[in-house]
Amino acid sequence: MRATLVRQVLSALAAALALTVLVFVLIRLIPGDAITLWIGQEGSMPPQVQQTLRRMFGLTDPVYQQYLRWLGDLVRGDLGYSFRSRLPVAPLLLQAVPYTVELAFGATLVSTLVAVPLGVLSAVRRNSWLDVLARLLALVGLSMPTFWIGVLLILLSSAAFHWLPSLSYVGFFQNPWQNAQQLFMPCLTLALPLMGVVMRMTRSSVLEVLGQDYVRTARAKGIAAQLVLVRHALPNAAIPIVTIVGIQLGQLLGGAVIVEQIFGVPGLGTALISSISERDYPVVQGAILITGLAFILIQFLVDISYSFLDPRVQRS
Amino acid sequence: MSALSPVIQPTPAVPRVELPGATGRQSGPGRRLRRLARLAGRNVLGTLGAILVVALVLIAVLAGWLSPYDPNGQIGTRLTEPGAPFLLGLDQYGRDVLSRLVHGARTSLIISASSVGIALLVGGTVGLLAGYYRGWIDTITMRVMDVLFTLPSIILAIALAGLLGASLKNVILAVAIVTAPGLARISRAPTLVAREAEFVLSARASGAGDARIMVRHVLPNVLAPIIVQATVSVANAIIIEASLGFLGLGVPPPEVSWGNMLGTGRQFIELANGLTIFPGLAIMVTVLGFNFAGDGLRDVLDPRLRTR
Amino acid sequence: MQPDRPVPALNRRGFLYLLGAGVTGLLAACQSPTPAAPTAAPPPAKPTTAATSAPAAPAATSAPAAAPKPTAAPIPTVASIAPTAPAAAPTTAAAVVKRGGTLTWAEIADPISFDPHTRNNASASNLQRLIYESFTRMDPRTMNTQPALATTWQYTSPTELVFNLRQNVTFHNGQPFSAEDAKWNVDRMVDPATGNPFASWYAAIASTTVVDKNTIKLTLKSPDPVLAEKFSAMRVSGFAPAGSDPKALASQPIGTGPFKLSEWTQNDQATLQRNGSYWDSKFPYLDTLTVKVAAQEDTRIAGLRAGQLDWGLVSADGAKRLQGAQNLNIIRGPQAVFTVLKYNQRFKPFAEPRVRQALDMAIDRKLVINNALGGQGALTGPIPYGWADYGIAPDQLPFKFDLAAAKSLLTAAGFGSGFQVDCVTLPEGNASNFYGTIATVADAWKQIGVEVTLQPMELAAWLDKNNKNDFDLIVSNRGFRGDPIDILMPAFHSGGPDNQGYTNPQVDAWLDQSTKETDRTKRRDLYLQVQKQVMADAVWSFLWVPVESDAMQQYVQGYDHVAFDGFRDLMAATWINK
Repeated sequence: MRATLVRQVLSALAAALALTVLVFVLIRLIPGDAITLWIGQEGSMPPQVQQTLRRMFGLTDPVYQQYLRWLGDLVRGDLGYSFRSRLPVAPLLLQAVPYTVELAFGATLVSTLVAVPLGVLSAVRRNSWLDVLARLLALVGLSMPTFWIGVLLILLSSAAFHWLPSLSYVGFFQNPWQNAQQLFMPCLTLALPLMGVVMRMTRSSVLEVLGQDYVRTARAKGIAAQLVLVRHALPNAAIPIVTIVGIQLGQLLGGAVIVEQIFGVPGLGTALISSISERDYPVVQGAILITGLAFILIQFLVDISYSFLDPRVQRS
Repeated sequence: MSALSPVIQPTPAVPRVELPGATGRQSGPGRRLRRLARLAGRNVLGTLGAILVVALVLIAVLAGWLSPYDPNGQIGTRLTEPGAPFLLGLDQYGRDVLSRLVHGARTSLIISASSVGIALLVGGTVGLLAGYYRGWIDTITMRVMDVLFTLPSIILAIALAGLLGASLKNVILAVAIVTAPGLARISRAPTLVAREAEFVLSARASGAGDARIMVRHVLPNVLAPIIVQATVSVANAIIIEASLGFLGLGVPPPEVSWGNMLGTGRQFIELANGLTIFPGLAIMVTVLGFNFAGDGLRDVLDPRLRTR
Repeated sequence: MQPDRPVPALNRRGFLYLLGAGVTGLLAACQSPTPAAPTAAPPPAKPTTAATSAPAAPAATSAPAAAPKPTAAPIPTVASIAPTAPAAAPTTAAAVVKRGGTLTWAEIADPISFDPHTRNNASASNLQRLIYESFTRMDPRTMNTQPALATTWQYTSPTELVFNLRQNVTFHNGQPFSAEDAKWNVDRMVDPATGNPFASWYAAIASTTVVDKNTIKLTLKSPDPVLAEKFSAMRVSGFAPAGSDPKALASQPIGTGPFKLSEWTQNDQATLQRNGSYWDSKFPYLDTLTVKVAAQEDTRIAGLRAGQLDWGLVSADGAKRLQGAQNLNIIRGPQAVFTVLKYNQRFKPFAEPRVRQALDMAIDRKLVINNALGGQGALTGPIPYGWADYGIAPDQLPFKFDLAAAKSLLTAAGFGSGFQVDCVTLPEGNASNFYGTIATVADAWKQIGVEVTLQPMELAAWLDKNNKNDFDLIVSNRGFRGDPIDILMPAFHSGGPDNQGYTNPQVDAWLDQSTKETDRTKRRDLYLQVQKQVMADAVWSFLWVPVESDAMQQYVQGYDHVAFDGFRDLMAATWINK
């Protein structure tokens, strides 16, 4: 058992490392680099000066050397300096990460609070109009592209409540109430498709459990339906729900990237996209590393829980 | 986000075990038709989805005939309101919105079908092999899939688009790469369970080759969830492609992309809301159709997983 | 050599001409819900002040304000030029200026850094012009070079330029400004290790010498009669105290300008405070400038509507969305940034001048302006009209639109069956409006048999191709410089870095001559000759300058549109009437 654990941890780390290598190489292959942007369109820099600058940033060294240097710095806890602003990458990203985490957790929270009860109700009142309506809404919700939801929400809320995406966002610890207000719409945008998935998962999972023998036995023994539901059905149904929420949490980052763009939230997704277009390699690496580690951690936990929770899957 | 999730991650259910002779009473063409009709009746949404999908395919195939104007021709004053002769109005360059929507259907379908096809082949096979052999093959391939999974699809797509240049081929490739890991997982799960089943063990004991076992015994159990997932993946592929288009990285002109229409139409909110609403509706209806169809398929193919 | 005289009348009228184009566009847009195609070269709007009469001092107009001193006034008052839109003119008599208050606006991107001599983006440049100053500056409205930290300058020999510096100027930290500081800054600007993106502009400088506390001499490797003008562009020529630490300057700039940076949170907000000891004690009027970051135009528009932003630049469509807003004024005016199609002669058909001329003739520029810019644009030659007197008036540009003639010219050149060409561009929806431009042009070229395959790509990739001249056809643009020579020379002189295979010995001769010509008028004539030749040879297709819209709250006064991105300079003369 311990051997499996260790092996899984190591393979997770290896995956993270592989990811950084992949991104490191990929981004350098894209045409244009930070110096190109430095000169911009209006600049006129003699070629020797350009080369001097490139050398300063280490861009003339072979790729593997650049990577090893980055890795070495990383081991010492140094994420390097942004090509764009010459400021250290770590504080830059640490400032952005909380927003994305908030978005992901907020979306998960909102959708769970709405979708799980709805899914349970739907399962308990199978095939009632409530059930049908809920299933329809869930499908519609997860069929709408995130960016469309965002754009529509902005349209609607600015028309109805004069609500606008904020010009500058405050951190949660600076001003929790304002922060919540600002991030509500983006969270909702992210949450809507997730609600659909969770609701359907909840419904099918509860249905599955309700059909089990031990539940029927409990009912036959005369235990109230409510009690059966709460004490027996739900806890067992929770397993797959938690599983899928865990998976979705990791994948929320993709949707967060788009939502951040639409609402102008200065989170990790925005940092990633803008650093890619600016060819700010150190920031790209740092952001991918953080993203990768977070996601792999979650996947890893899910995988482990898979082998614990479902005895039908053999652990070799 | 719905771009990335399977609609449903089935609990690793007990596979439909292949009991010999279990297909007794459901034979005969008449019976089959009746069964189909009953299924359709019980499964309204699924049928609706199937109709939508077929309609979409028809629109895509017949785009050239159905579209009233050249989708890239600047034929009138920019930002004209919907109304005859331009039923959905004209966009910011004076191009007909309806024609562009029709051609966008073709683009969406080509991209999603091709990419999911590739992903199915590659991802499905990889998952099957990984689940069957386990051990280090499993670990390595799954980790590779994880790596690909980790990158938000958008990022990977941006990198690919920047690297290879935005083109139809490259967008298909990007979407395929992003979709494959999910399909791999979906095909791995039932494989893991199936390989432990009695009949597989006995088949191996009686000397059957791996390939034979995989194809004859494991694959049928994988097919159902993977086909359902494929339908849903098509829906997701459409969304991914639209997201790329929204960010300006999708299929370049002269191809038309719904996501692109939405992305550029955003600047004209208040001036011409149709430019954002119509493409968004098109995407939504299409994706909905595929999701309905996927649901219906699941009900038909695997009663155990049916959302009763 | 004397500093340049104030603007001659021809230039002001010409400038009004362009303004008139913008005004007509505005009026036309007001009339109809959907904009009609813009009329060709509309007659200039009648100016309501007597700006056309006096050739010299702006004080000849009806300005009740104190007449600005011709050479020393750094920021002209509003009344010195004509109002832009008669109905929407926000200006009142400048005599009742109210001091104090805060002005808030949003830039499109976060400033990269406040180091005055190295890489910065437009946002950083914009703010740096309020914090730093250089030897010279540009008049925001006429783009003439004016004194700033240098009061006068003269060439003691073709390769020696002496600046006489302004006295009693102090930096924001109290340190007095002297020739030692000037020397440190210029040396840093030309040092290769600094990574000055405009290093080529100052390539002529060999060394700097402090003559005395208020005099500095620049020794040049070769004659450069427009060196003083080059400092005025304020792209990388701000002055900080000698010996400053560049890393510190990046976030804590110290300059001599009317504002100082008091606070900066990256990707969030920058705050500028009034410099109480600014050498021109009349300015600035405002106490605080708050600069936020809003990449999306939607957000800026919403902010303007809601009163969170006091001022903002909006696109033509954005201006349309704001039309009904009661609290806002919108003024329009052209920008000195012109968009072109560059023909690279490595692509065989483009090496043949008749092909280029034919293609140029097949471009309906008015339609392009209408489609790509929503009508908010004006015709231009190689130097935008309104840039001092270097540009050619729109009604005197030689462009014509004639598809039949284009087709026959193409056939005569041997390409009657047409050809296919790839065009590099920025993506659809990009603020540059390149995509709409080439899409419209391509549509027309189809009719003469030329197929354009569009290759949209993101900025960094596009820059890569643009700067390396790695394209057959590209949509690109050029902004202003300190002096037009920095546009004409690199592009149209044989072997120039921005030249795609064009050689014309006559043009080379004119350009070489102008680099030695010390008489500004003669230089101007040479520039004009080059421009005419280059248009006749259709080296590039010169398409449009944008007419931009400034939206501001009604209470913002003293601000008017200017033709280059130095409009933030006007913030010093802006005040709030609340």
